[in-house]
Formats: sequence, structure tokens, C-alpha cells
Amino acid sequence: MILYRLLLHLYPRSFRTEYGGEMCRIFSERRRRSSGPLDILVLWLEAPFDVVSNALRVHYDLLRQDVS
Amino acid sequence: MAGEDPEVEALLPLPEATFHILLALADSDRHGYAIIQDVALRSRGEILLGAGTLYRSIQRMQEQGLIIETRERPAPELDDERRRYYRITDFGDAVARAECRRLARLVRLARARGFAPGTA
Repeated sequence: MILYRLLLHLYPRSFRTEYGGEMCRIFSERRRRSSGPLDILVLWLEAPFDVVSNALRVHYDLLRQDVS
Repeated sequence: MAGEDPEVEALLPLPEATFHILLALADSDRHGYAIIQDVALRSRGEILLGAGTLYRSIQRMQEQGLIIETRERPAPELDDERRRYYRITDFGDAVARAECRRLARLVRLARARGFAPGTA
């Protein structure tokens, strides 16, 4: 969980403040419901991709708002 | 497309995640994890929204007026007071329906060319 919280620091602070708690709860719920080591591995492989790709887009959205 | 409200049409085509979130909220307020579960269930496991995709979409959808966060809570036995619930707006409903019409037109065109099963 600590690792996932660290990953969330890739998001802007405002986004992290707004949605970080919910995102952690969802990750925790998915981990709890995982049916075995393979499921957990897939969860951990997907999480960085999901976080990084969307964090970049959120930063881009904020930048676009700032310059418009 | 002719006949569509310009404000609605400006948002089309919808990103796939946005459309699925609107469908998930069409019949019930839901929190984030429930939206993910509903999308997975309706797509028979083909679509599993990541938390990042979900909340980036939710943020944008709130800005666009498609959904709102609701303070109303479901029945206590179903409620988790830590969770945040979302509700589709009338505008969100209109946009979802417009996207359905757009997709239906595409399927009709595809069928007319023999690309999809079913009659033209």
C-alpha cells in the first residue's frame, strides 16, 4: 500500500488531495479480492501503467487550463 | 449531427471510459469501486477500469457537468460513509443518449456494408 501511495505522488497535489483516498481504497479492495499470487502480480503490473499514463494526462489537462 | 443540441454534440464522440461511467450511473448513484464493478459486470470482464482512468474521467465529467458528487447516501446497510457517490445529471443523460444514437448510426452503416452481423 505504501508503494501505491508513493506512485500517487506522480499526480498533481490537487488531484491527489481530491481523489487519492478513493484510489487507495480501490487498490486495497482489489488486492483484498485477488484470488491468488498471479492476480496480485497482475494488479501490481497494471497499477504503475494506470497511474503513470493518467497522471501525465492530468498534468497536461492542468497545463492546458493554465495557458487557456 | 443534425438535431443534436450543440452543447451535447460538442462532447461527442465520448471517450469509451466516459460512456461506460455514464451507463453505470444511469440507473443508480454509485461510488467509484461500484462503477468499476458495474462496468466489468456489464462487459463480462472485458473492460476493467483502472482507478487512475476512473478518477481522471470523473474529474473531467464533473467539469463538463455530466455527473455530480451526491451527498445522499444509500440505505445504511449498503453504505460506506468513507466513499464518495456520484450521480448522472440530466445533461449527462442527454449526452449518453446522443452517444448511443451516434453509435447506432455507425452500426447501421457497418451493417449496410456487410461488416457487422444483422440486416441492413
